Amino acid sequence: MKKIQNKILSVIAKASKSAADKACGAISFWGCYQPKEPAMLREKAKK
Amino acid sequence: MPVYKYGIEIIISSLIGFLLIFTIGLIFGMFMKACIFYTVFVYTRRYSGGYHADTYLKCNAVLLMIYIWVLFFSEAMISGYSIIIHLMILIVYMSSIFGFAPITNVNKPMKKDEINTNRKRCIFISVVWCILSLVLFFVSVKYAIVTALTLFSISMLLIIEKCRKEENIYEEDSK
Repeated sequence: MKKIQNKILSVIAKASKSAADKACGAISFWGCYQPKEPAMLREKAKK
Repeated sequence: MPVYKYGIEIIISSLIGFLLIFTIGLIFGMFMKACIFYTVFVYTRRYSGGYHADTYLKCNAVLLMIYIWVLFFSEAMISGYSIIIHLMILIVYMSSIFGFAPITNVNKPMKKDEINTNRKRCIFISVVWCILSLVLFFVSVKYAIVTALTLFSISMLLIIEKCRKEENIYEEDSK
């Protein structure tokens, strides 16, 4: 059970990281409400 | 941690919008129109920006209202629709893109070079949509109307946001 839980959580984490990376640099991601972009993400994108 | 939180937030918000659009499309038997609306709206707004409500709920409600307006107005317009109306809508859209796009969001500040890149992409994608919608006009008018009305709604959202920004600048200056 713990293994499955970890697997699901790691998939969600990967998906959210990928979505955040894609949203960085886009004026409006997926056309909906834009939450505050973390400064950390912007700094990482600059490198 | 904030990056993951941000990612989760945009995934959930986008998923809600996506499910709303396609569920309504299926309910009213307008799945193809839903596909056209969602593709054109999301892909263009990625580079053009424009008005966003200040909460998730309001933003999804606005998206839903625009979508329903596009669906039903496209049905209502079909009998009297002509190439002149189509071209007029495209001219309004392209004028707003050349005049205002992209309009950045307060939550996503952009640097000048990023704004320039997005502007170029926005103009390119807009030209592609205009050509496609003109081709669609001769193939299937009802889908051409959906494309044109979606582009028109994007231009209205751009104009609304531009007016809001101008108003804020004016209010700050008058203080």
